[in-house]
Amino acid sequence: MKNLYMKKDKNFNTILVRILFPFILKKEDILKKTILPSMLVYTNEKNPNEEDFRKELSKHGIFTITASIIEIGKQFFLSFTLIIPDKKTIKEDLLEDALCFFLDTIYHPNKVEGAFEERLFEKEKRRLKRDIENVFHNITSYNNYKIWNFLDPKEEYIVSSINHKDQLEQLTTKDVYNFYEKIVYKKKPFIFLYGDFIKKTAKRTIQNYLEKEKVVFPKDFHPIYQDMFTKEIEKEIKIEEKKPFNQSKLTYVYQIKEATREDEVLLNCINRMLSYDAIDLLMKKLRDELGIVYTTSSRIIGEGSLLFITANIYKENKKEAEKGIEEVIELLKDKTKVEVFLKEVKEEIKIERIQRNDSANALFNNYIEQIMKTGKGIEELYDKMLEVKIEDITTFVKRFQKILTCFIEGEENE
Amino acid sequence: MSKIEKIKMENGLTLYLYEDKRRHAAFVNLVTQFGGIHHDFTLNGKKQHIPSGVAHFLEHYLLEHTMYGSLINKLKSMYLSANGVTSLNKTEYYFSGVTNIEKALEMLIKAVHNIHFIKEKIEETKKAIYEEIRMGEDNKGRRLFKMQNELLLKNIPYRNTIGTNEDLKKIDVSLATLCYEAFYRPENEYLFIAGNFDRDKILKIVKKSYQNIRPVKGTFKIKKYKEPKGIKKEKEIIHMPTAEDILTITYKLDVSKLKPKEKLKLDFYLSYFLKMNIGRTSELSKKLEQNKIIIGSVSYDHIFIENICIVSIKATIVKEKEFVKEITKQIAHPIFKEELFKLYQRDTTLEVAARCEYIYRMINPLIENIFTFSYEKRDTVKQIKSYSYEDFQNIMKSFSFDEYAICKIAKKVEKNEEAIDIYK
Repeated sequence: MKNLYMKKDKNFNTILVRILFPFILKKEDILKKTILPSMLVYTNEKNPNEEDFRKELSKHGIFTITASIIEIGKQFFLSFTLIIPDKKTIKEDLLEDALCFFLDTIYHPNKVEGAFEERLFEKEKRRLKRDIENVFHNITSYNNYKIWNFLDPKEEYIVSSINHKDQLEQLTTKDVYNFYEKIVYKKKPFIFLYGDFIKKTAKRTIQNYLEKEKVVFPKDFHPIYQDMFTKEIEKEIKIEEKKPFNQSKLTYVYQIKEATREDEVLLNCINRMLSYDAIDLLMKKLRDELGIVYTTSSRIIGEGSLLFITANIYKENKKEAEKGIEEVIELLKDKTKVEVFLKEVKEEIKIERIQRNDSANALFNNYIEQIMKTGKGIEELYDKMLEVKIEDITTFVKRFQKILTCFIEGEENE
Repeated sequence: MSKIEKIKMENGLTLYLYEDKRRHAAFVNLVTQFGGIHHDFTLNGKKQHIPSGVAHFLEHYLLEHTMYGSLINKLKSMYLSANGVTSLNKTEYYFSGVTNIEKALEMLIKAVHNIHFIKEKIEETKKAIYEEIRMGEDNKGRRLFKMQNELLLKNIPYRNTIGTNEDLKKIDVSLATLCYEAFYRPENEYLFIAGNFDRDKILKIVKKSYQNIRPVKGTFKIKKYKEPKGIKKEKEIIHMPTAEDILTITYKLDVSKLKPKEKLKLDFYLSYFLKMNIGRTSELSKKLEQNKIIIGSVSYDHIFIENICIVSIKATIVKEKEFVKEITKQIAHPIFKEELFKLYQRDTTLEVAARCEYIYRMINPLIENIFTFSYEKRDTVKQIKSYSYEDFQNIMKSFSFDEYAICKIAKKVEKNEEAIDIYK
């Protein structure tokens, strides 16, 4: 049976099931995408009452059914996850019943006259409205919002609910249901199972269910995983704004000039040097040496094309923080220093590889990544990072271009 | 599933070992009974009172200024994941990894027990904590938590764990040394080790390492607080950036008559009780949504502090008076449903059964049981299954839920407006 992938592992106590429905997002669907997962995990057609649904979950031994949206480049997935204890843990074989209930919840949501239930929809709509408004009252989310508004005002790279909040009033439960149908109705998804279970039982249960539903294979699946931020920013953007927060936040955004997908490997190495355990250059500089932060971080956006460095500081320490970050970046051009850093990174990766085998979730995610070939498979990344040379790093850093500095100054703290 | 082995060492240290050879990693946690609540103690017969935040300060200092320099950086350079955390009644120093476990354990014990306080290093340590306090001021959850303690607690001096800038300024060499000498001693410590490790080697290292620590001075006793009935203040409002107002109703329950095992049972019963009456699928929750009294769902939590339990019920609110009225009415006249009790009980047994997925999940519930309930066992399926609906009803009905305080975070008022207390 195509699209069904199963792996046995007796080392854990739970069975993990994930079901992925691929789709491409259009801008007009952004709010529907945000609300949809919440419409699908509290009820289903047979159990339209939340309390009855909850009872059924428990009866089937289900810890949790969750729904979410996964974004990899331009490719989106509506993702459902089921977790149940395995037979050796609970002394009951729950898999068959749990799978049927899970699939029922996905393919037969609670609907009324071709739309999701109004009460739940209105609740989620109000919650979304509150969450959008709260972006302006939280320094971290406000910081991100400001940065992306400047980097990508036309939303060619990232589409955000905040920029489409005017659509919220007109959005109806039927709109969201139609969006759901486009993705799920009669579609055959990618299905993954991991844990200690009988493969034959799982396959038979899923096959019978999907045949009954008369699902069809999706049209040729050609994922667009590419996630590079390729827009040219010629002149550095500077954002400075005062807000009524106690803390202040400084962010540097670096873009890699002429970035390619292979650069993701080098940027991951550098990210580890900046803020992972073994080296943690940012914390060592800004906290241990200068004493101006409680926390600082770095992250990669867009597959090796953008690096964000953020520090939460007191407003008077802005210059010191800027100098500290720039000194850290300069360290990465020093071959002697990079030799030491790179050795640490590689050792850390080797150990992390072993430690990941203790996490069912990490192993499951890795299994899915290998099959879906998202290109972000952690094992492949590890292999490539282990081959990186000192000169690769020091040359690469020269391609860093600072394209944005954002300083949100907290006015409250004197 | 392996059993957790308890060993009481001669020096007073309590050691817990949980071997799981299926795993590659080991997890080590050294826990000292010194947390945010500890403001009063006796050392060598002399009573001492300390400001807030000392336990948390010591956690930072002990991790940053050891014989190895920064202990966290040292352990991280050995490819271990390491950190410290201070909470209500304890401070934890922990690490995990697949390599260097024995060496790291030896270093941890030696480092934590051979500290010297120097004025310049004390001031240096404070810098990051000032930043942490500042971050906390922007955090709604932390502000509400502090507010609820201010309104409810008359005798217990606990407000939060990290203290204020003023508290931090009071910490000097003398105060730090005093608290360190008092609290950091084997008889006041627990060591938890879980995962893949060599039991005999680990035992040898623990015994040997503790032989090399600084000598413990004098007798020591932690003061236990007795919180009287009644609340200190009925309501408080603070203004900070928020899209909508957030309100918490907090109750103070007297649990002084309960033994440790009964408190542990109450921990489960409270969760069931709150879920039954104000949880997402409850009738009240639906009413609050349909009448647009709240946005989203009601959330709830509880925490045990000395002889009381604080229950807090929170929501983003649109109609304050209606919210307070409906919640307090429901809690004062709660419903009990046997079917729901059995449902929650089953959910809990599933969760407990599958806990051994991660080694820290095997150990952390035990740590919480010890420090919260003075109960030295982890939760088991058998224990959960032994709870009965009748017992649940009896215990929950023994609490009156008649006194509560209200904490509110309101939208920031513009300079030309006045803050209005709607309850006046």
